[in-house]
Amino acid sequence: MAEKDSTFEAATRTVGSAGDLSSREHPSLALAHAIVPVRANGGFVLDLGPASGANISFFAERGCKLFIADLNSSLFGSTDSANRAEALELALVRDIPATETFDLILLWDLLDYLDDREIRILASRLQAVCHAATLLYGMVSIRKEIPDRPSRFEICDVGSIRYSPGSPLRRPAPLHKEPELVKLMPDFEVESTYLLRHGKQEYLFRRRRAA
Amino acid sequence: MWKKNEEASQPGPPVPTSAARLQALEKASVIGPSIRIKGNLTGKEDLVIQGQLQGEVRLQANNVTVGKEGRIRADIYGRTVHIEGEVKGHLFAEQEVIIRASGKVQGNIVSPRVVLEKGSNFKGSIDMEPAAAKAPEASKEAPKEKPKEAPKQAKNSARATVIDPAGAPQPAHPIGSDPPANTKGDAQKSAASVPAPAPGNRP
Repeated sequence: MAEKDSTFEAATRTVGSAGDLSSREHPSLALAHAIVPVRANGGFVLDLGPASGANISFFAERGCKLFIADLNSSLFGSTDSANRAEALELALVRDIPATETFDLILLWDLLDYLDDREIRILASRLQAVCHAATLLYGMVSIRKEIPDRPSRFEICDVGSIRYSPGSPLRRPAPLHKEPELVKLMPDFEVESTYLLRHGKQEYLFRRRRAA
Repeated sequence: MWKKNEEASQPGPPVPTSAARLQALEKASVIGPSIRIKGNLTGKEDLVIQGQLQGEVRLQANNVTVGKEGRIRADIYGRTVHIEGEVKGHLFAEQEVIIRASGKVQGNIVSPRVVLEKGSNFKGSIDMEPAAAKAPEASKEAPKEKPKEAPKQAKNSARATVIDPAGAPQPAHPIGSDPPANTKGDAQKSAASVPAPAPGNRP
């Protein structure tokens, strides 16, 4: 049975003026757990979000090498949704080196912006660049609405991340549930998951162990 | 961009292009926007590229700037490498790589210091190990000095930050401590933690 710590006060601050595009710092529980094995294994991290100086600094200070694929710019720039699956396949082949395996893969909120077919495509490509101990970090919204574009994430420290919304417009959230995600990503299993007060559920996925 | 650990917590005004850098840019050779080059560029002076270049740029002891109109399909070796235009290729710098807000890079960066301005576009890997920052010498050139061993503190001196042209530079984050042993949270953990996995097999 999950435990709920009632003594914790949500550490959410608004940075800058209030508004739809203001960035906010939120706590993260999964990131601290994701970092430990990365450091133990020498640290090769794949970031599927846009490049961020803060994230580069964070991983460099921990002796990790960072590879930035920035799928956001490939999928949500000028690509219309009808061609997005093809654009995703192309971006995954072009922007993620096939000869490398990574210790940690940062999905950020990408799962909230891909349909079922696209999640399957993504998972299939990612399993090829994972080894047995690779962790995938991602988060999904448990609130009904999300920004119309993926947010930008900057790691402040192992316990907090700054979110910058990708758009002032809103759209309905897909409200992914764990069994649904596991079904769409059959090569992966949920290592752990954390429900956060600011409306996000963090996931750590691991490649499914052979039976 | 921070040079020393102690500067990491001192916010300051936006980092403008320094007078020294402006002077250096004035003295640099310039490849104009109408120029197209296919081949390898070598030399011993600073260079600003506003044209199109396909090949390789090897100016290890000098500053290389790809201007806003520059369109490069080449690996670039320099003492410092500043990108304001578009580059498809790898960047190797002895001191630093800076990708300005207008810059777009697809390729890997090997440099002890990397700065990405807000609005810049980058895809590729970033390796800030100083030992890897030395560009491989061309096979015909005799190396002038042996590559130095990277100091053990080198990792801790590596810094990257984001400079917001409209505001103060964001401080680089101090060297992090290990994750907290007991993290109190508002979370409901639906699965127990598993022990740290054994290192995986990497091909």
